[in-house]
Amino acid sequence: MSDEWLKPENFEAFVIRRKQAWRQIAQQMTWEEKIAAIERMWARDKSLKIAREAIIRERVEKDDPAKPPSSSA
Amino acid sequence: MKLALETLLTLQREGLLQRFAIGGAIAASFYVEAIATEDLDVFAFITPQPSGLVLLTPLYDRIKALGGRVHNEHIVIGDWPVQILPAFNPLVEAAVLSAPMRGFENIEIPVLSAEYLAAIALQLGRAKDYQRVDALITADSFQGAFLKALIEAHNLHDRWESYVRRMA
Repeated sequence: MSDEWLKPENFEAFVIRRKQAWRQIAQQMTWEEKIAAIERMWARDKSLKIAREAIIRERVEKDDPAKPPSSSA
Repeated sequence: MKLALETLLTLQREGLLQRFAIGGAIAASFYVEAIATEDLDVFAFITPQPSGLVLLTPLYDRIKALGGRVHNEHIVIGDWPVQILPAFNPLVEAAVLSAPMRGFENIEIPVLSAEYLAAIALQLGRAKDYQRVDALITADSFQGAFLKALIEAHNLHDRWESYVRRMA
């Protein structure tokens, strides 16, 4: 495989082209489609929040020396 | 969303709202790509009480009667938390009064114009507002000359300079 596409000028130009293409698509969506996309973001954000809170809870439990281990060995 | 918009139109028909227009990220999403947001911002002229006071309570009571519920500082209509903000300065008042009607699922609803949204974002002047200005001015239909006129009319020169410096 050629390294041509990894040369900085080619790589950056590719990223810029993709961003422009995506922006064009995003702007062509109807208002209704955009609102539906925003509503879908809520579900994604909610699941990310739940996952993040679970990780934080787990870390706090692990770091708290006063707390007995949660799983029985 | 449609239920929230229909409820706003009902409130206007019933006289509780005089004029209103959709603002914030939902309005901006009409002109540019979808912008993540958790609520629907509505700028409005609220009908004053006989005493002359402008109160949100009668408005919220009516929304609750129409099926809405209160959650923190929002009233939730259908799935959408809605924030009704009285038009609080001359720029926002002018923005509401000149808001064009836009179609959403076969209903017509007033939405702040892209130029007024950009001017209000400049006036607010937070980092996320400058990003919104940046998105709006690249929209196909954006009238730069109109924004320039708003900057001059509402004395937003310093904010424009801050925005330009930030984005340079």
